[in-house]
Amino acid sequence: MSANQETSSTPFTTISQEQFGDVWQIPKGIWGRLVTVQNSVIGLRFIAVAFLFFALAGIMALLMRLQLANPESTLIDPNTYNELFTMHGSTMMYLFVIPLLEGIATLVLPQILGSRELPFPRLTAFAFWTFLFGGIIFYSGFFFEYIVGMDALAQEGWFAYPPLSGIVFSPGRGMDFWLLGLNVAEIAAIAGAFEIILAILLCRAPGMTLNRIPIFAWAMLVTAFMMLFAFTPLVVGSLLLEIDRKIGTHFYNPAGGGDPLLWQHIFWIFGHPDVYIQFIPPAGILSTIIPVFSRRRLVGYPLVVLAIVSTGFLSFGLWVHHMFATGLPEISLSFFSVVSMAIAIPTGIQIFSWIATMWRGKPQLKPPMLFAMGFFLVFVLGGITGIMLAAVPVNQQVHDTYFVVAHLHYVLFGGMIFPVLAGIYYWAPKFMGNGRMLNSRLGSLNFWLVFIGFNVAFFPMHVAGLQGMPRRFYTYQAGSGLGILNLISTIGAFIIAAGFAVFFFNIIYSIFRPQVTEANPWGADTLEWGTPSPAPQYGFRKLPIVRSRHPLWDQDELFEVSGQTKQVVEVLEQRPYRYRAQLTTGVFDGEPKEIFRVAGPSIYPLMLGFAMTAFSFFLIFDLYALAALAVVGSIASLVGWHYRPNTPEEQRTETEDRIEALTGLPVLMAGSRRVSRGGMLLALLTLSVAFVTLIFTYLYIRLNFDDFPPAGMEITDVTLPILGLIVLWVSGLFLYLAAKAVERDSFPRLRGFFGAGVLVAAIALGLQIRFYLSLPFDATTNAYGSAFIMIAVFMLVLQAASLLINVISLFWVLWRGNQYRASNHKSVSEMAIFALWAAGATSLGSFVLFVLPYIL
Amino acid sequence: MTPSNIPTFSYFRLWFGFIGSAITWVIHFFLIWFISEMGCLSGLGDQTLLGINSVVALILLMTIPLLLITVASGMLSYGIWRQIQDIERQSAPDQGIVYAALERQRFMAIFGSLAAILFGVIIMLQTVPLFTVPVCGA
Ligand code: HEM
Ligand SMILES: [Cu+2]
Repeated sequence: MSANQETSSTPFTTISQEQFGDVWQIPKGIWGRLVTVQNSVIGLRFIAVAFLFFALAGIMALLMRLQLANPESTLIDPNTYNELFTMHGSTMMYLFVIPLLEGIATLVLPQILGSRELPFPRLTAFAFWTFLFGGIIFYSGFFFEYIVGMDALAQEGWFAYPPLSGIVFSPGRGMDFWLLGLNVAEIAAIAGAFEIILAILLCRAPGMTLNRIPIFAWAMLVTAFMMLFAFTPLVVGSLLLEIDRKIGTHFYNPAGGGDPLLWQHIFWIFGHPDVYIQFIPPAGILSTIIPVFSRRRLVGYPLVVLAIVSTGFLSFGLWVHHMFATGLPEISLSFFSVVSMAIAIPTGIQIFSWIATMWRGKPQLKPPMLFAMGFFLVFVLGGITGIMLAAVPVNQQVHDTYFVVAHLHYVLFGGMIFPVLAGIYYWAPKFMGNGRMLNSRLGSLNFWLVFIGFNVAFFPMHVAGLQGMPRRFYTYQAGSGLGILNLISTIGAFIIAAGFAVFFFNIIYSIFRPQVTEANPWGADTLEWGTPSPAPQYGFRKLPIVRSRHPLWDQDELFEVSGQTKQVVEVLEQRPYRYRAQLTTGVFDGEPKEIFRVAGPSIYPLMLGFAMTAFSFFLIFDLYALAALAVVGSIASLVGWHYRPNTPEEQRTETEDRIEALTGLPVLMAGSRRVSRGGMLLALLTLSVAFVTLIFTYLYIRLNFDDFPPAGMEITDVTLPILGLIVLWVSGLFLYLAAKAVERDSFPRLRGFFGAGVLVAAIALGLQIRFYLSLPFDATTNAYGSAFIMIAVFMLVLQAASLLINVISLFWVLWRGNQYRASNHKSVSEMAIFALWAAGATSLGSFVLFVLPYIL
Repeated sequence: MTPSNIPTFSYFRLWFGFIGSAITWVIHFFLIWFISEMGCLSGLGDQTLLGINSVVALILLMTIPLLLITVASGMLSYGIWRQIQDIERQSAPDQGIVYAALERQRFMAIFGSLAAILFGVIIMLQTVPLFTVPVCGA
């Protein structure tokens, strides 16, 4: 990549590799480790911690298998067994698969896309810390249970159905650990999803049009959107369950007019897409690896993209499919059945494309490809049993037997573990341990042990299930004929464990291997292999210019182009170098749009993650004062996060002006406008999904009431909230005008409108709070009250958050106003969008609360 | 062909063609679910409309326009695809398609055509149970 350096046609002096790499260096020391935000570091941490949780869950699986190895065993008592399968399943689903996939994406995406860094590195760091802390809370249950001696481990399985998970049946704190610990981890998943979406849409190499995006990135894009739509309802649903337990609301409590089935609905709106969230990225890995090791282009790229996108859509049409045994109208069940069969079409398309690709090429069975092959065999079997489960009669018969356990592991383990291991063997030489290959002999051993062990462990479970062995039960009778099957399963589980021991050993062993010197040892086609090995922290110093879907196969010269784009990459190669500079490109055609400063190291992501986790932790123990303190801590961290101290590096110099003149692109030292706009839109999308979930809850609860609102709970006087709503819109209008003033660069107007907007918003909030405080009922009266209050609280919290942000920014505008030009306060337009959206949401919510029940 | 006279298709046409059928499927799916659930709950399922069960009739009635929208989205994409093929054919053979934006629009059009087929078929498949499963049976 340095070959072109000398011929650079920019007027800037050429700077050395050391000078250029300086700002990208990973901070040193313990403090440095805490403030690092770089994708290369955070990605590896994600992966490492995810595997740590995998190991823990694996040990629990082995314990269960030991207990089941022979009939009527007394090794583990029933309660402990319940805790084990709950912790095992929940860890695998929430703390292993999703973080692992996000970690891989974090690690490899910037370079696959031909860029330098993710657009919001601090958000990624935040996602990592919250994931780690959430996992620690979740696992601290073991400490509190076995050391402190309280009841701190959940026993209700990975989907925690009420009423079992309610306070009556689970009075201990185990469910609280489960709900609050996992909620923190899910927030991490959502934060990571934001980052992935923005990276793929906005930060690609110049020329990487929509149709040249590598399949893995397509897969992550769809997955990240699915996460927003799936995890958000889950977060809301588990918060409702938690306040049912803590405050005594009635969302899932039939005695108060709630409904346990509501949880199942919300859970499976998450749960089924989640299966595909866990499958699409691994499939993307396969679509990356198979062509490389077959030396052929992927057959049917548009079809594969279609398959990925349509899987994303269809997977949301499956949510009722796990409730076959709960008795809904038959006709609507059949709609879900049709979707669960139709979703086999896109999966089939992908499998067909992989087979066709291999067919046309000469597959080489190097370790990544071996694991890919393992996937095929396992997944096809899992698919077949899945179709059997989708057939309603079979489902009723084997529901809650080991058949389901077998199916689940074939799909999750087969669909996910094999491709991911393939990916790790594939990408290791570029991204892991400073560019070292994993040993391929050990790789084969690793593969065969896991593959054989897997089938030995899980195939017999199909049979056990058909013979009626129930899942989630700690033992079975002697003489039932199940003994031999279970013994085989247990042996298989230990073979799998041996396979993973080899895997971990291989990783450690690789440290003693020589560094890879070749940039592209597999002869791959995508951009990440265009950087030297080991890859420098900044990925591409000179950004590649993409002219093909397979740039490394088709382009003799990655960096050759003419015209304006040439100018852009050549300037960017030299300047700016005093801060981490990055390019944003067009969503469709990847044309350069802006040069911006990517955030560097910061302690605030860690602090925010810590404060939010502390908040959850204190709630578990009902320590509300401390929890409030944690909220204050979170707000303080957020302020610190966004505070710009205006160091010399951030001062605009004539270099920026020259860069702008040469490239024709704006140089944004306070961060990319497009990225923050995108982040705001995604935040609004997420909040909308949360709000819709609450409204769904409200409507669902409505079905349980004959009179809605119940007698004595009608709202008669809505003057205050309506007035509040009108005033709220006025404040939104003021903020909009303030944003316009920023565009016109008028400081007095900005100050005036912004000030007025904040003031009026405060009045609006006050009016509404007064109204809601004077209600004749509260959230614990019955389920109607619970749903009503929750919607109200949501609207008020939105407004309060918007107000808080605006007050802080107003303070900023007034204090620093004279130092900046008004046009530097561009983020005011983001706040205006948020305020207007909050007003819209409040209008919808008011309609649902005050109008809908009276006309339905 | 030079970059200046490469056509760009309107956002609406491209996007509606690209993702219109998928979104139509979402709408259709939620509507039929909602109608069947609410219809059975409210007793609508015991009445008839146009000689058939009124829940079935309602679902069929709303399936038709949505299916047409899906078809329209597919036709639109297909039209764009054909148009781009023509442009390709007219351009000098050695030139091929060199303009990234055109290639990208072709991709969206191919994608949209195939998506319309896929989601159109699924929408139709979803009406099959109406004739095989007893409506509102528990
Ligand atoms: C390492 C090999 C593994 C073994 C030996 C294993 C074994 C088991 C066993 C014995 C159960 C309990 C069955 C019951 O009593 O109902 C179970 C449940 C489960 N496993 Fe695994 N498992 C393994 C890997 C995985 C992986 C990789 C995942 C997910 C990606 C996973 C997800 C689950 C889930 C979701 C449950 C259900 C928990 C529940 O019923 O709430 N397992 N597994
Ligand atoms: Cu399923």
